[in-house]
Amino acid sequence: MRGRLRDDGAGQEESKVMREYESIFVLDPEVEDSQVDVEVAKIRDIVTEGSGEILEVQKWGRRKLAYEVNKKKEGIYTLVRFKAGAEVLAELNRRFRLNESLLRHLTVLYEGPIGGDVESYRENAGSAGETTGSPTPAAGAPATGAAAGAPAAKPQAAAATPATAAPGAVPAPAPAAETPASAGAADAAPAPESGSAE
Amino acid sequence: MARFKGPRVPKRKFCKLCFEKVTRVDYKDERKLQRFVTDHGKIVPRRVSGNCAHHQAMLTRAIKRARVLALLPYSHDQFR
Repeated sequence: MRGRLRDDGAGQEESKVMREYESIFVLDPEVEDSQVDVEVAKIRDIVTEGSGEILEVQKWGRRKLAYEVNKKKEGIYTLVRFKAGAEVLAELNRRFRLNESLLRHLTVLYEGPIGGDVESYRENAGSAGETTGSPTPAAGAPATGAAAGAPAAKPQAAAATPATAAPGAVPAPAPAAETPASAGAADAAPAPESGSAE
Repeated sequence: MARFKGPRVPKRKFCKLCFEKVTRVDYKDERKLQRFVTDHGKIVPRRVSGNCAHHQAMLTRAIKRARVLALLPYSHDQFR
């Protein structure tokens, strides 16, 4: 590791390669909401000290945790995207680990903007990142028996299933719909599927 | 093929993710990820979900990350 960022600025040469990272951290819900900004400011300092830059900050606010962490059921989620070198990363992670009011953190390489329907999922869930109640599947949702997980309707699939514009695409896997997506199937499709989906 | 007892399996197992030309699986999107997780919180195996190796790997990685962040549970008796 090429030098650590030290408070006295005694770090050695900075790395030349700046990579984009994405960090999510979850704060203790008992902490004041204003604390989020404090943490972000700390991150900002670390990043800029290492000649990096902050690209984006997303505040997801409070969310229910999927499981209890340190006896807490909620957490305050925040996401920061930044560009920095390796030593910044090391320092950042070190700080995360030391911070006692941080319940969880995760830093990954930024994988690029998510394309297509996944974006709409983020919007559907609300940018507050709330898990809403199970949504009603749109008519024609292919997974009749998709008991695996919530029957969140894929917007693409809803369009694709009755789509006559999907040549050669494998038809909806529902056992009921045996006919491939031919012209008439568009009528047949919603009926059996909405029956089982509802 | 073996009898399907659990979640319905598409007869012609095709990779839904390939079908939708998904290039990246976002670990932050728990709603989409939930489809690939059983009601017990386990990751759905490939032979059931019909995913191709590539997408299944991406999915697994994303799910495991989401679990760390408490966006998805590890197990549903842990669930809330």
